[in-house]
Amino acid sequence: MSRGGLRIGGAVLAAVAMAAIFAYALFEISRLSARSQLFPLATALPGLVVALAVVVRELRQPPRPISAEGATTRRAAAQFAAYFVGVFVAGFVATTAVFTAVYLWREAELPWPIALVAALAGVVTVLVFANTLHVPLPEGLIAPLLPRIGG
Amino acid sequence: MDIFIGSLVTVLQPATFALLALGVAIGFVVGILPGLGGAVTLALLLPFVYDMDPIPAFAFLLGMHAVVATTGDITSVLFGIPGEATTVATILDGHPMAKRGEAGRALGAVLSSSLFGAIVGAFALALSVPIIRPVILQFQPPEFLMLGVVGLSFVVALSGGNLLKGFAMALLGFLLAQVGLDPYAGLPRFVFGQLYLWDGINVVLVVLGMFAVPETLQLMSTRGAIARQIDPTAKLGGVLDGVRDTMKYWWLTLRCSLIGVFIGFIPGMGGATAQFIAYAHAQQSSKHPEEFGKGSIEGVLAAGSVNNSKEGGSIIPTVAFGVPGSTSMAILLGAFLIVGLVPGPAMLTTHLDVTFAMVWIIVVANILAVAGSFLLLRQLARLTFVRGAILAPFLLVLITIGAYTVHNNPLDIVVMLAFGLVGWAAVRWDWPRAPMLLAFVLGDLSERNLFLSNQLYGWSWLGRPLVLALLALAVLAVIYSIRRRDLRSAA
Repeated sequence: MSRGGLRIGGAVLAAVAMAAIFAYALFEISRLSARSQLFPLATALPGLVVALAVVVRELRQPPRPISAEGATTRRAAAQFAAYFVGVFVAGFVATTAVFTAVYLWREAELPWPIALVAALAGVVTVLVFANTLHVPLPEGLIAPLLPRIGG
Repeated sequence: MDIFIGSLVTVLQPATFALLALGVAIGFVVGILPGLGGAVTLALLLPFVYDMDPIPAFAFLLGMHAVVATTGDITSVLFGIPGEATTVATILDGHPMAKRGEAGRALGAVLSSSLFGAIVGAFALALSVPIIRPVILQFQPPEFLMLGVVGLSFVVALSGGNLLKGFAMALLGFLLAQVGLDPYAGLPRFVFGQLYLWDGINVVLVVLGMFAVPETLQLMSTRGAIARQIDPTAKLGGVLDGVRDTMKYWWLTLRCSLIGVFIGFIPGMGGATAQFIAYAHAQQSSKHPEEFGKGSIEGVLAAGSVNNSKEGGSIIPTVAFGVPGSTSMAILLGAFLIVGLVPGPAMLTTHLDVTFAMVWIIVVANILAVAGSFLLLRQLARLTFVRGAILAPFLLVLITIGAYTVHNNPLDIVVMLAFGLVGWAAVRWDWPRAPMLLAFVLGDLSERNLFLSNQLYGWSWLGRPLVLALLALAVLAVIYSIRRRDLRSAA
């Protein structure tokens, strides 16, 4: 991205985001009592100064070359996001079973029967572990609705 | 002495020993797999110790962590691929030995010297207890506050070429540690109106997000085999010759182990630094320095002995002062809080049994790992063929369960993912993560001690001799690191 002769890349935006966090903290601190401000102020004020120094330094540096692995990273990020959206919507068990099977088949290029067996074995292991140690698993939005639909 | 022996008996009790063996088994695999770090795995395993007593919890976590460097040496020797960042120096002479058909001897040497180093490190931890105990009892809140500053200064100063970013990340860590109720007035701050945040942000979510998420994304994007340069023809004979080498060069192995203890004791120095310093010392003191880098057994022994002895050393400041010497120790510090222990004087008095148990856990874990390594050397080599695409779904499962079990609240996963984004950005744009994590862990402790110091002494605590000495140490650490960085840049 280029603005008025300045080259603003992700590195600069990351530094600006850091400065914004400290600036917001300073705004929040102003609502606290004088004694309560001590530690947050000692953190946020130098934090803002250092973050702004990083912004200036990043602006002076030449733009970094765009990574050739950008497409694969985006693909991995999309798969990662899809898994967690699935966990929130369909729940952990269903999402893990489907995602693992499909991922092992498509990305790891395992034969689909092996991918399916590996996914089911993984889910069964997790369920045994969860039931034995009473570890709760995310249910998702759909599972709690099912009894209501049925009853 | 009774407590020392009693701690061994506790560690060897069936339930604790089973957890230790499980931890060792996990650490064993993690050490061999180049894509997985000991710190990341500690973060993944941290949620599983919530309902455990301290000693079984440490048997599981420390048992895993204590053997990661031991088995990490295996891939360093066989394939020239470090299983861990702390096993890089092992490649320098271990891999040339493997290439000339002495892989077995190199592995025998590196594994037996690792065990030797682990024992030296563990007993250094045990022996330091009576020395440190009277010293630490003199420490008051101002001194503990300054110890936090010292610990932080080492890590921030050792942020590589990113000193400014290291400071920024450390300050961000401090800021995040302040989310929740203000200890002065008991009022919420930085909570965005969310009741969920009144309790503060859990360290597990920060660690999973900052470390495990970016590593998993990395594995998912590479997809191919983790170990790409594999030479499966490496021979595995002559293991016992390597063990004999450790005994033959026992004085060198002991010296390098002690270097590891010393460097481990200094917060922020790191395992890789320890390995290279010991390696350099071995080369300087060798009668055949010209053989180093071409397959010198002395180089292998130096690198092998140091990477485990530093574990005992790095636990000393973590246990005694609550100052973690490394990222892994910062995560382990989180484990202390989870099982209800506060590092500091109590670990050398009330909870001395736990401290001694940690000594035995390191020793027993390494004996198990080295014995397992000798039995499974050939089969272990095959694990390096495991591809990132096969590991990724199973890591996602661990991350999700790890985050959700913190409060059994979907918001745990949201917070973890938010930190995952921060962690990914930190990796992408070279913001060092370790200073932030350490500051996050030390933040609450520092604020509490600042509050207590002011309550007890007003501002006069700033003139206490030990406070001034520690402040000077922190300043010196920063200056030293800046100078070292400048020298490195000039070179």
